[in-house]
Amino acid sequence: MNIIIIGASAAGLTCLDTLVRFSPESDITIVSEEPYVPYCRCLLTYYLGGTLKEQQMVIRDTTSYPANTHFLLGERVEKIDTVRKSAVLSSGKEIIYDKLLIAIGSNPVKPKYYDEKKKTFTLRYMDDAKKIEPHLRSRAIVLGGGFVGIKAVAGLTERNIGVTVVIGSRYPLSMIADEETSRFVEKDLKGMGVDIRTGEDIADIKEGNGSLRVSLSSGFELDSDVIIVGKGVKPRLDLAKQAGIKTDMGITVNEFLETSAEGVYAAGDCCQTMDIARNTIWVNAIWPVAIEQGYCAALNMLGAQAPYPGSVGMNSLKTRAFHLIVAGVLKAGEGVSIFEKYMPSTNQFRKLAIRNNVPVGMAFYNNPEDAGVIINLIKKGTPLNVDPAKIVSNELSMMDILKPL
Amino acid sequence: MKVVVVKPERCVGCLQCRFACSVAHSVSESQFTAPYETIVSKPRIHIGLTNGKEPFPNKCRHCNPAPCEMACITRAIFRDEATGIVLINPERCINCGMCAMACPFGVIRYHFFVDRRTSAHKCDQCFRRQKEGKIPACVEVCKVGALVFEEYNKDMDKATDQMASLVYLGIREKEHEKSPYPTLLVHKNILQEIKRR
Amino acid sequence: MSDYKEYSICKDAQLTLKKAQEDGVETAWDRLKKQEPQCGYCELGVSCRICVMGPCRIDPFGEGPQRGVCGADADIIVARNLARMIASGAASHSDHGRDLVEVLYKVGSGKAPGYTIKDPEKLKRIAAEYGVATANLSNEEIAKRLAEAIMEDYGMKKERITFINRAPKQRIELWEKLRVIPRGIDRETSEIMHRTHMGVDNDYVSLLLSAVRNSLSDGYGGSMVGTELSDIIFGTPKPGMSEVNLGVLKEDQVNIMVHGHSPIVSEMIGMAVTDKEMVGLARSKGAAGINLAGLCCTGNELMMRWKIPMAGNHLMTELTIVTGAVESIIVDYQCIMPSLGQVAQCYHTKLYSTSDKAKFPFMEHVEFTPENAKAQAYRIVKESIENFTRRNKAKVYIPDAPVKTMSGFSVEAIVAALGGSLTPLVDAIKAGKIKGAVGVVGCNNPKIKHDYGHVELIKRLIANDILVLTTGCANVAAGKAGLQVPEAKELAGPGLKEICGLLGIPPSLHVGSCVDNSRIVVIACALANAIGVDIDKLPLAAAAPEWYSEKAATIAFYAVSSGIFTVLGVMPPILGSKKITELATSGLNNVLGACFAVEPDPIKAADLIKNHIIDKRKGLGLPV
Repeated sequence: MNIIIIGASAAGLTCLDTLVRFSPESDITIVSEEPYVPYCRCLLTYYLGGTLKEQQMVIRDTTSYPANTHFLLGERVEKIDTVRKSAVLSSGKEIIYDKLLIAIGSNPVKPKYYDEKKKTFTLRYMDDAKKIEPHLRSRAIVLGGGFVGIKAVAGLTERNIGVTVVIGSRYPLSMIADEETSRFVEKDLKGMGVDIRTGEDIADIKEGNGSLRVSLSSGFELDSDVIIVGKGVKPRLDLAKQAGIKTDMGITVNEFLETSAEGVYAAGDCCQTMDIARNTIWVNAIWPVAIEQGYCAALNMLGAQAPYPGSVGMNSLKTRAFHLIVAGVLKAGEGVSIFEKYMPSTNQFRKLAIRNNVPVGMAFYNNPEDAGVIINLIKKGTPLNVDPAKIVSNELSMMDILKPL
Repeated sequence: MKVVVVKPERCVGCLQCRFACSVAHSVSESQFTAPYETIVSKPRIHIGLTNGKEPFPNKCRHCNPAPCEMACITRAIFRDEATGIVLINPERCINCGMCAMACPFGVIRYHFFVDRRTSAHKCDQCFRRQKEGKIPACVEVCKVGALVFEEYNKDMDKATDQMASLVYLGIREKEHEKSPYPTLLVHKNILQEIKRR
Repeated sequence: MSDYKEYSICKDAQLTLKKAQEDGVETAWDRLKKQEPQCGYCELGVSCRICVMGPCRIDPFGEGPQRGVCGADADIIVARNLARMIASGAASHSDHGRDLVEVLYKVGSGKAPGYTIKDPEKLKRIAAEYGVATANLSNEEIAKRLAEAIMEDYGMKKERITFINRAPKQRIELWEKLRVIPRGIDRETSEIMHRTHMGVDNDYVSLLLSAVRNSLSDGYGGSMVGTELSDIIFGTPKPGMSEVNLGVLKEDQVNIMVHGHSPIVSEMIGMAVTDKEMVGLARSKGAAGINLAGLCCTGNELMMRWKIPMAGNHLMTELTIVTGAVESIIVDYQCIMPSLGQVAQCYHTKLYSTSDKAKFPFMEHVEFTPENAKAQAYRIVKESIENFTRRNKAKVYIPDAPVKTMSGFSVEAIVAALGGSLTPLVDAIKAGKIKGAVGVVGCNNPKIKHDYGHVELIKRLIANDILVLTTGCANVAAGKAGLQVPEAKELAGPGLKEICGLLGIPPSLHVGSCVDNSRIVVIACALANAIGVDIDKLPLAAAAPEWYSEKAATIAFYAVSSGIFTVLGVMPPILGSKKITELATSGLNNVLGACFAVEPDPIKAADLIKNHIIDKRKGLGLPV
């Protein structure tokens, strides 16, 4: 079987490994736009923070694959021909496929004033990090209070850079956590010396004397050496649209991760699937979800008919000051009841969202090491047979949860 | 290959396993000096309390496939091929917390392993002791037989592997909900089919 | 372990352990293996069972609970546990002393047939110490009055116990400043039990100081009373030769053994076995005679006074039965393993308990009182002789030949050997012929290779011209290794060799049983007074290389409290409290002038002691 995988990040690589494991005789070509040996983009903030070197971010050894696996790095797929069943590279070369996986990921959102000449950069690709690095001196602005933004903040504070976070919403992490949980993070970030400005946006960026003079919408002005933008990501639909494959927020797929084009699958940030916690179609653009989908797509390519039951959004944010794990949905309403508790002696806060006795969301702030247990229950839709109040009071009753399993 | 098997109904909550685990992973490996080392070793086995006040020993099951291994973005978590033990290399760990999110049993913790660096850690089945011909410390010290060191038994491990696989694949158990998705058993048959082809 | 060399350095132990395994007998070593690894919390002393809000434990690794339910932290829990250990040890020795007071009183009242006053001169000396008039009174009358005076020491009537005055005045002043002068022998033990109750004394320094006081009420109280009264009633020991190890058992004789502590029982047995009628009865059963042998401290008492041989120490007690050659063992109290009855089930040996305070499984209880002791002794010996016919001669195995050992070095005997006063000893110490003196005392513990701790230490000490005094199980170890005969002077350093040759004494002197550690204290006090300094300035030390019992903990405590550096071979349960550990191993130097050290390796322990003695000699300006 000839297989093409477009994209060599989480989804693409997992699909590749699974195919190699179960179908070693298949001829697989994996194409990556980036010229770099496959790396984990989640580690970029650690690279900027000085904790990791470039070499340490590599996640695959391209030389260790069998002869019928071909890595094409630094090449773009220009178009997919679903009739001829081929993919055409920018070099002009055409590759025939029996099965194709689109795992091209998503693109970071750029605000209208985005201008790399004005030292404003998104942070998604290795190239972005390399562009940002030379400008890191003593002050930086991070635009966006989402996961990428806050992780960038954490990374920069490791290098003792004075950071100002400019957030559009009223509190950080508004897309993934509820207000109460976020306030804890906000307090800790302030304690780390981070300047947080909520309900703000950048109005103007002026260059001068090697640094930037930035004015915010409230009129507040500040200086910075660089601006890092973390305003979210949008699935990349260009290839799919151009090939006539159905798209919506992301590429639409059926329960077997197959797109509207036969033999073409999608996985990772670029596609949309059912979100188990939200109970609606959603795009959870996170690394573990991409891995799951890559694996599932591979099995289905091999004819296993393994349905993908949906994703659950989750994030782990660990800094020197705090550790937060959130997953699922945390908003009350529509049959969702919330249980929460703050434990001052250990500065722990736990929140649990339950719908029809099944957990659908959780936020564990500080000492969240047993979060995996609850996340597992959210993923499987297992009803809770212990009192949720106990879980948020940190009296997680392991035997009772694990016994039936 | 022998693995540590937990028989929770026998646990009396004496916490000897925690003590022995800490001592076994300390530098001096002596109970008299271990608590006074610069970096105090922490136990990798955790005794929880159930609603009925029954103690429950909870430790890494070295699942196959291991959700933590698959979740780790720096490949700090790996499986030792010879023994099947899932280990964490603290040098590579960047303390991101993905493994804690992935572990369905909640057995991963974060502690200092040098000076100022923290790393994830969990039960390593005392592979260092096993190399010296000893059995895992928690098993050695458990007097009631709640922790035993036995030959790997596929049937016994079914629950663990099932849970871990289910986590990874997100496949649901049929009993819990009316669902058109096949159970793991069916899924494993599918995998066999693929292999056969 | 096919040859058991890892368990013991003694051939008789190694050989009988082999037989024990073949006979299917479980020994203390087997049971230790099953218990290991032992509870870490308890080993560190941070588990507490004093009240039922618990049981509690502190996690020394900082993750689990750091306080018991009552709020006690590791320091308090360790201190309470340690204090209770001291109280138990003190209670044991003091009760032993109390029984002798009772016998003395009954001797005085004519109600103790078989018991007499063998050393009336000592009776008068001790009476004088107690302020009891002796002029124109019969020995019996003096005995009665002395007994009554000592009873007051046990109670509340006095402000301080009498024998504490034997200490040098500097030491007494120090104790007065610390408020640790014992007021009454029983009172201190009782107060510890009160203080360690939940919610009483919760200051670890206060608890430890009261433990010091309790230990002094033992060393200068219960134990000393035991020693002195045993000398009065049964005779003050004089030097003479005896034998030691399992080889003292005789294949052709009725073997009767005594085990436990108080000479009250063993002396009566000793009397019965020499009775002509009994010997005749034995011969009629086909035995060549009756062979009495001792185990542990009561064996020490008999050896000191009558040169009765000793078959073994603590870890040998089970193994003596395994020889298949023992007709009976008669026990009273302390250090008697409850397993003995089980072991005896495989053999014909009959076991008798004699004290109302100490009953054991599979032992016949024949209660001894001062009134009936003699009669009961005769009864038991008769039964033992009759038991001889049940011996399975084919299965008798007495390994090894007995080793000669010298015994009987009471303080009076040492002084006599020195020519009437301690001056020659003091001169020898001053000149450096004898660098110093060390008491090597204490039990056996299967955690230390049997007798290895004692023997290696003693060998190295005497090689460095340090005189050794042994009590308890250490005596048997030293004796079996041939260190307690005058010929052993060849193993001593030149100075000690010279002195031993001159006086005809061994370099390691058997001073007595465990209560006779008070003899060592008396010597220390006497030396201090002779030189005119406090005990902590003297080149002395103490070591308990293989200790197991709470009594040993108390002895170690009163040694340190007297100003004698003490090295323990087994770790005491105190490491859970950093503060107490630091106090015990160094802080106490500033408080009592001495401290503890823990060193399981006897070679390293010898170095510690040697260096300590050199330091003390320097302090006194003596040549090193």
